Amino acid sequence: MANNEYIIIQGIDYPPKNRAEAGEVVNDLPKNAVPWLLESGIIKPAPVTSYQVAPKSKQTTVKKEVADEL
Amino acid sequence: MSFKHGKNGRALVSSYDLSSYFNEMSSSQSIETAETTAFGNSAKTYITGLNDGTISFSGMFDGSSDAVAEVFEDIIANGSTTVITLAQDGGLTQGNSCVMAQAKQTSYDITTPVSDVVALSGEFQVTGGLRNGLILGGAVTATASANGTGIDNTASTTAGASSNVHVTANSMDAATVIKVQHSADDITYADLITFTSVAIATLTSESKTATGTINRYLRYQVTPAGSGSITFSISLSRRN
Repeated sequence: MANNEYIIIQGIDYPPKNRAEAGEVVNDLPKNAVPWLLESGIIKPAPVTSYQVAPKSKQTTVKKEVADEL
Repeated sequence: MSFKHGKNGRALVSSYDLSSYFNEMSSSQSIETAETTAFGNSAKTYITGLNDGTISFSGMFDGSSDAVAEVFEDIIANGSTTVITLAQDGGLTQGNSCVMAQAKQTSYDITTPVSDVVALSGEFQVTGGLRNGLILGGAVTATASANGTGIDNTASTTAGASSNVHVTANSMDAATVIKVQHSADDITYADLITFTSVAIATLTSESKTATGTINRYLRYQVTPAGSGSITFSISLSRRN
């Protein structure tokens, strides 16, 4: 899947009335603007985030023993 | 061809529009040459060296507060580097050409003839070279955030740029940010140069540079944080 997230290097104003500051990650840049923004060094592709699936923890069943001290 | 009359010329010196005091201004650019003629040459040969420039003004003396005499006296007394923009091409109109410089004042003369107006003149030595630029916004008065109209320079350049801003009036009750932005499509604009934030009710001038690619379209952006109004002129020269 193509990554359409970009890191803003220099602040930009883009349609309709959006503003992104340096350091922000955005995914709604106009498609037509992306090539020249990349070429000018104004944005750069955001690294693809990978998620590590944590192993399931062991489930322990504890039986509650009730002592009838009667 | 398009000839221009000099009557619309404007002179911005530091944070002042001194146009109403001057009746003549001139800028001079030169480049030195070093001779490389050697035995066997039949004609002299040269290589080019360093650029240089001077600016001069002449006009009417006015000793009032914040008038031309006080401005020149402060500049020459402080030895400060002064931001200068000369709009010789029909005035401070967006898209018109201008001459931009940072300069040090080298002379300040007052002439008092018995039968004429008291006159004033000053010479400035340019530091860093004279630059030919375009007015991005001339005497713009802003009361709220605004973007200038994009100016189409028909192509991008790759050798950076320099920009002058002159804030000549300011009643804002909070700081104001002025920027130059550039674009390849006149739709999405990126910050190119951000000037030092203009403090409350402060008059100022500044020259800043940018490196690398300067895209085809240019505009100013002003963002006041408070209420009031701010008047500024801004120009940019591509270093290409």
